[in-house]
Amino acid sequence: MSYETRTAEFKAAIDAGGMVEAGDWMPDEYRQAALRFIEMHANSEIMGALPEREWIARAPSLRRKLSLTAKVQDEVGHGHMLYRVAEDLGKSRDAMIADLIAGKTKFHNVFHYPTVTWGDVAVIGFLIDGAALVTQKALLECSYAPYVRVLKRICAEESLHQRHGEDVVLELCAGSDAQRQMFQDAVNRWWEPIMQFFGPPSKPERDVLLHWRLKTRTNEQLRQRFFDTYVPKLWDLGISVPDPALAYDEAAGEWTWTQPNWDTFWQVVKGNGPMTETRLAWRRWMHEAHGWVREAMAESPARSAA
Amino acid sequence: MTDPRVDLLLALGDDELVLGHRHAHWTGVAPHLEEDLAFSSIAQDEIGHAVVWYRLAGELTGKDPDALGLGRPPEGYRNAILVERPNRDWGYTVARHYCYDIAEDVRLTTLADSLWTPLAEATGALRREERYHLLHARLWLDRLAHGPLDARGHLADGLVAALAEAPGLFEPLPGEDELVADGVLPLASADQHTRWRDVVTAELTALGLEHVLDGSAHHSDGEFVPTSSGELLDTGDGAAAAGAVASGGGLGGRLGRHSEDFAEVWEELTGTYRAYPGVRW
Amino acid sequence: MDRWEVFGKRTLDDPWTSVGAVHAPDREMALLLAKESFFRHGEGVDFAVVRLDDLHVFGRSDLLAFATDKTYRLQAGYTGMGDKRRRATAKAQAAGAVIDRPRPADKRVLNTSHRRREAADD
Repeated sequence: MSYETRTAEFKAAIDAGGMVEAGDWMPDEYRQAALRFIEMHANSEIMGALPEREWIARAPSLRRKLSLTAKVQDEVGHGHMLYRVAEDLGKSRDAMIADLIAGKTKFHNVFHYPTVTWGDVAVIGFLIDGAALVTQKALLECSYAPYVRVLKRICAEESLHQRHGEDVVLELCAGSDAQRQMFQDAVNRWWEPIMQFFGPPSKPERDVLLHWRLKTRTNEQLRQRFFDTYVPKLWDLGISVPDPALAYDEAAGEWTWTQPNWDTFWQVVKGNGPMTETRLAWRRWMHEAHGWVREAMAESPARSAA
Repeated sequence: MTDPRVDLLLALGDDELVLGHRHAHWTGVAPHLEEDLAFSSIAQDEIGHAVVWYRLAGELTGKDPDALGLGRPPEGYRNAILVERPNRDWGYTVARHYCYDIAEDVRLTTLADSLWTPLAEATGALRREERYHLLHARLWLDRLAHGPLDARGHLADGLVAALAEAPGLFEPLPGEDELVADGVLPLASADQHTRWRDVVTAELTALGLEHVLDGSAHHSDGEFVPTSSGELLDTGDGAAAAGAVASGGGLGGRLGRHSEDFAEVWEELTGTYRAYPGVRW
Repeated sequence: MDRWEVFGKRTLDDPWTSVGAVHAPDREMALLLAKESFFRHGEGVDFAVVRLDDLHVFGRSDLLAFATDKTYRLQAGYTGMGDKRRRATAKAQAAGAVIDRPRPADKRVLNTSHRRREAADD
């Protein structure tokens, strides 16, 4: 059977709801697209640990110190599971981490920004994890079975993070004027990156991920779903969103909103965000300083009977 | 005259909190992905232990755990200097983790016999978590000790530095005589130190690392390291690494006298809490 | 003869789940026998075998149980959120800050469905 025929059959099977396993035959285009997508997801979990991690040391209570540490730990755990899934598509974890710290591969735009106050922790926990949950829940319908299996566990943990994030938000909003303002300022800082997080409105027929059912929803569908859930919650708390156009259009059945600056978005994901180089340089330095630990882990020395 | 039990509980809680704080710095950047997860749990456990001690101290002082853990001036903290030091590298981190968790084991075993029942009872849950910490510390110690020369060198350097300040963990507490006389503290700090030293000496000697006990990162007559490659370490300038011993045994922390590194810890640890007095988070 | 643990999948989405064990001299025979031992009623879409000796059992349930308070790792650790939301909304209302812009019909400001959501959080 020719490659083209095989690919056509594969595509037909996927379109009919078929699932793909790591050991199955798959077209190179599918393998590459799946690898890149899952590798970027894994990278984003690992890099996403850094902005929040900065507030573990500065958490305002012992309980929050514990819950934030546990949350960042979970994000690292997600990266761990996702790299495992990506590895089966033909690239080793070492190679993926090397490419990440060399700036050769990408991670989500929102993890290139600084975390200035505890309000940023609230925004990340509530809105960015909320945005991630919206996209990841949609991915549960995707065609790559090993990814779906891991996503089930990730989504369960993300729901916990969501609750943690909402709890942090509610405490700030029920707190002093300074605390409310701290959250409002953070929402103002993060709104545009969050809009960018979903990606620009795209042409579905040109989206390779939709073609292979590695994604099942368009960027715009996901963004609209995010608005549905989170904007009313913010408004009820008296927290405004820095987009004067944002409102639900009853007749059109969707939200109207203002397009962010997409040039900034492309600059950021290409590695020119405000914190990109600082965070990558630091990770690179930690990585290089501990090559000896990786060697010690790789070796199975002639051990004394212990 | 303060209740000496409060000093004891603050020393216990502050050690746990400050070390947990330092350990937590590894979360997200540890040298091995799976280890990142494991060590983060240990950091969380230590912070959780601090909460247990602060809660007990709160019954004597009427203060909540946050006020005790995050609301005191720097000189009010009673932690040993060892736990406030930066993480340096993974070799020092493992070495300190090992020294500390052996000490915590000795301490909790001692306190399990306390005649002050709430204290004795509190040790139960902590000792259960401590078993994993000891397992973890010993496995890493063993792996690095057997590792390639580089790993063994990093571990030895870390051990020399950590051992030099470990005596601070057993610095006598203010009011210790009274605590011992009342049976609150069944074994004086000095005697606990002896127990700790016996364990550490035996275990490090078994790994061929007895030279670190004398403050030297290298064996005086060269050492055969049992790696698969059978490399032999050149110990030409070994004595130069012995520097860290002179820091006075890491004493002073129990009296609120800290190293220059504590300022950074205190600023990070307590800054947000202090900036917004009286609010909920 | 070795004992082999058998793991099956009910659907391709499922993780491996232990279904039982077979005695067999080698891997091929274990696979052959496991099929009819555990999957003859159509119990799944795939299965795997692992030699029992190759399962390294942790065996320390004492280390898996929570010893100190770990509720911050669980949904149940975040309580009283309904009350917090009520206090936060009351604060916003008192300040005249609640934002009433067009939103989907089922997300009306402070309507009954909102109250229901609060009750579910308590």
